[in-house]
Order: sequence, then structure tokens, then C-alpha cells
Amino acid sequence: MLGSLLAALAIAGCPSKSDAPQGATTDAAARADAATSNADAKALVAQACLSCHTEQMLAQQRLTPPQWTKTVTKMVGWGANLDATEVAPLVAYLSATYGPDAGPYAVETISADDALAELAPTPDAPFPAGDPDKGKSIFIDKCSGCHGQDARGSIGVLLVDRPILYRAADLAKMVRKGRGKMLPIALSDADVGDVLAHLRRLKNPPPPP
Amino acid sequence: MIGRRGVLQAAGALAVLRSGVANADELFLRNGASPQQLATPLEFFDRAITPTRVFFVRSHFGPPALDRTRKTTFDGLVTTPLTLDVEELRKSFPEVTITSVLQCAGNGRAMQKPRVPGVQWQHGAMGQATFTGVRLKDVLAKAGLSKDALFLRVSGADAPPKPTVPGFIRSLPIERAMDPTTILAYRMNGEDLTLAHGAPLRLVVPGWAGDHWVKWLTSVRAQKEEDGGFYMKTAYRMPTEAVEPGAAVPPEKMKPATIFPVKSIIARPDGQKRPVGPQEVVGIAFSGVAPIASVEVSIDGGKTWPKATVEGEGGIGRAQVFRYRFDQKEPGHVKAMARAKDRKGNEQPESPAWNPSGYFWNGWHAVEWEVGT
Repeated sequence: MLGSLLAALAIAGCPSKSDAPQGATTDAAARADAATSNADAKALVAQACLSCHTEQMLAQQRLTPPQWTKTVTKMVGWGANLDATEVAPLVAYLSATYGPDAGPYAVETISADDALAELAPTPDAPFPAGDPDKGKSIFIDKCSGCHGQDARGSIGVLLVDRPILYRAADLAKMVRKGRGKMLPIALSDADVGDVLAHLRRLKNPPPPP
Repeated sequence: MIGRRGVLQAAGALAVLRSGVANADELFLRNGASPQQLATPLEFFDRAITPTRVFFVRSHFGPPALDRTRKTTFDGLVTTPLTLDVEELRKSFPEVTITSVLQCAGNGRAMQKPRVPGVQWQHGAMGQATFTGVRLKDVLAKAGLSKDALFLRVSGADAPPKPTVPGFIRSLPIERAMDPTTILAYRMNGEDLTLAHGAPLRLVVPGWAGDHWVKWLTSVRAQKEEDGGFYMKTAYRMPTEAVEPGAAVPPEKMKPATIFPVKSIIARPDGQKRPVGPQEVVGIAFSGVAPIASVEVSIDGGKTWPKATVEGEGGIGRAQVFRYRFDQKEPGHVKAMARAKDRKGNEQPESPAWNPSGYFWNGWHAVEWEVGT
């Protein structure tokens, strides 16, 4: 992914090295390269930004390249999923897409009912009441590699004391479909019940002294 | 609000709202889906109390799970550490209700030029509500606050998404903590706090920016020093003196952003064409420094500034509704601007000084509309 993105950037920056014929074919090739690099950049956004933010947080910004560099650097320091070599292409994409000249941002709306419903607990059914110890085994095996042994977040995000733990259907859908960097994980309904029983008994540590 | 919902449900209208063909007064402006960053639409600033259903929502990490039995610990430089839930607080201390504006420090950030990073709020990261709870000073007195305590470090149950992300921890100077208007609130507009607004318990610090109003409160620790974390030493800081727009400001020239300045916002007219005849400009005005002294409205491009009527009870950090009526006899384009003054002599500026994080924007607000036959 990164390789093709860098290749596209290199081609864009060094046209004299290209042996491609001039004219329509070159345009088509450039468009294809741009599309590829755009897709790769969006994948970078998904892995680096969208674990903790939703797209709106990026799309409403109108920042210069130095401002994007500073923001991305801060986030990398805080554990964003980004290699050192991926910073520049991500900054380039964000600056080009959400720069000062990107035009007005159209804020979306949500009804008050829907906003309330996003956080409200939902019934556990059809997921059965689980066994927390079984849930711990499943979690350690399938989830802890990214979310950490204690579920406090690592590559993936915090799963302790969160509203999603009381929205079983949403959680199951997310796990089975995948999200951001997370690939789909096949969990049975019983597995979901067990994992939830485990996660619900965990607590975050008190603030530092 | 419940009454209105009931009526809507009875009329079968809720399905319409959910389908997206919603009545505008049931909508938030969504600056972020998860965590929720929701702005109150301008039209709600035509009244003193912002309905909870459309009261703005902002947090760094999103809420923890809803737990109305969650406890808060008061410890540090005290003789008797206390750990209490809402029921225990209610039983142990006198209950008070305070009407106050809650405003995000970054409200109006989208108006900063050059632009700065952060949630790009326009006008809606604010609202006014009644908050009911107990005075923080009463709880601190029971805990036996030491004279050595100069700050309270406050934090909530909203842990960061990863341990590598700094936790949201704020420090409140002890004199502000001991002010009788600083309360631990469990009700808002007469109902239990919603999860999005901090249930079961949040701080209320009238006149101070929303980042001090810590939600999902679990820890209040009396200390000698201000907390040294990101949210005190880097974020929520303002230049000590005016700087050039876009300038990098050295850390020693920054101080905590605390009290929000005088501001007025026009809720109506909303830009729609209106008939010739009586026109009314309505909005709210408030200042974190002092009660509102006056609100003026200009409809001639700032040549004259007649006074608006200001309604209701004033106070530090308390919004009052203003109205200015005039007769528009001829069709044409109208532009109204509002500016407020507080009782300490602070005036709302036409264009406030830029700052690197885009805090406390309070420029004159203008609305324009066509008057036709």
C-alpha cells in the first residue's frame, strides 16, 4: 500500500523519468495513479485517525501543511497507528484534502432522538448471558493483541467502562464487520456474550497520585 | 421537553423526526459522530434556558458507561477523605440550583483567521441550563480541606482511548473551587443529568470555560500544585498579551484560559425573508466576568447603536435574552449587528484578538435578511 503511494508520489514529482507516451494515455495513467494513491491515503487515514476520531473531525479542518504536520506528529506521539515513513504521505493527503482552500464545510445534522439513542443501552438479546472466564480466554486469544491484555487500548482502543459494552448488537456488528485497522473477527453469539461478561467486570485504574 | 416529546409521539410524529425529515428544532449540528461533538443550533438562543435535548455536547474521549451509582472521591490535602455517590451527596449537603451558561472554550473557533486545529465550532458550543447539586465548598469543608491546598485536581471516568493518550485532568484554583457558585451537579433543567452531559455527576463553574466543568466526575484531589499534564500545561492556554494572527507563542507567554469574555449572539431573524413592518432581533448575552450591563443593536452598519431591552435576572456567567424591535417600512436588505457590555465595563469587540487554539471568540454577531412585500 505504502509502496504504491510513494511510487505515485515519485512519478508525480519526476515526470522526466517516465517513458510513458504523451497525451491521453498519460492522463489516464496519472488518473489511475492518483486514484491509487488516494485510496492508499484513505487507508492511512482509516488506520491512523479513525480508531479514535470519526471522519467529521478531519473534514471540518482547514489547515496548512505545517499545521497538519504538527497535528499528526502530536497524534503519533500519543500512539496513532502510523509508521515514521507514513507521516509525510498522510500529511500530504490531509493538506491537499482539508487545506485552507478546501471551501466551506457543510456541517451535518442529527436529530436529538438519534443522538440520545447512540449512547443508550440496548437489550443483550439475542446474545446470551456469558461466562466471564470463557470471555477472558476469547478476549486474550482474539482481541488482546490490539486492545491490550487489560483492554485499555494499544493498537485498538479502550474497551473498559464504555457505552458500547451495553450495546451488544452494535459491538457484535463492529467485530464481525471490522473497523478501521481491525479485520472482521468471527465470534458466535455465545462468544459475544462471554466477551461482554469479561469486559463488563473490568475497571479503569484510578488517576495517578 | 418530555411533555413535548409525549405530544409528538402521541401524534405519531416521532417516526417522521427519525426518518430525517426532522423538525429543525429537534436537530443538533454534528461536528463529530464518535465521540459526539454536537452543537446547539442558533435558533435556540432566543430563550434563557436551552432545552437539554439540544444542549451542546463535547468531550475529548466520549462518555464512560452510564452508572448512576458511580462514586466520587475527595482526597489529597484533606483530613478525612470522602467517597460519595449522588444519593450520599444529596443526603449530606444542602441542595442548590444555579442558572448558568456552559460554553466550550473553543466556541467560535471556526471564525478564527487564520484557522487553527480543533473542533470547528461556530456559535453552538454553548447553552444555558439550571444545574442542581451541592456546593463543592460544603463537601471540602466536611473533608477538612488543608490550608496548604492551592488547587483541586479534577478528573472523570472518561479514560483516554489508549494509555499513551494523556488523560483529561484539570486543576481548579482553590479560590474558584470555594466560590459558592461552584457546584457538584446531578440535575440539569430539572431532570437527572444525561450521560452525554456528565451523568451521574459533573462540576459546574459559572463564568469559566466548559473544560473546567468536568463530567462523569470521579476524583477531586486537593494539592499544592497545579496538575502538570497536557490539559493544563499545553492545552486550554491563551497568550498573556495580544499576538499577531498565526504567530507561534512561546509557552512562557501563555496562561490558562479560564473566564470567558462578554458576548452576545443573535438567534432571530434567521436569514429568511420577512414581510415589511415590525422586525425583532432576539438573542442572548452573557459575560463570565460580570452581569450584562447593556446590549446594543445596529441596523445601519454601525453608525448608531440603540439599546435593546434586556430581560430576566443577570449574573456572572448568566445569559439574558435581549430584544430590539424596529419598523421596516420599505422593502430591502437589512443587516443587524449586536454587541454587549458587562458591568465591569468590558465591551464585546468587533473582531477579537486571534489566539493559537481559537478560544473565546466573541466578535460582533451579524444577521442579514431581505424584507419584502
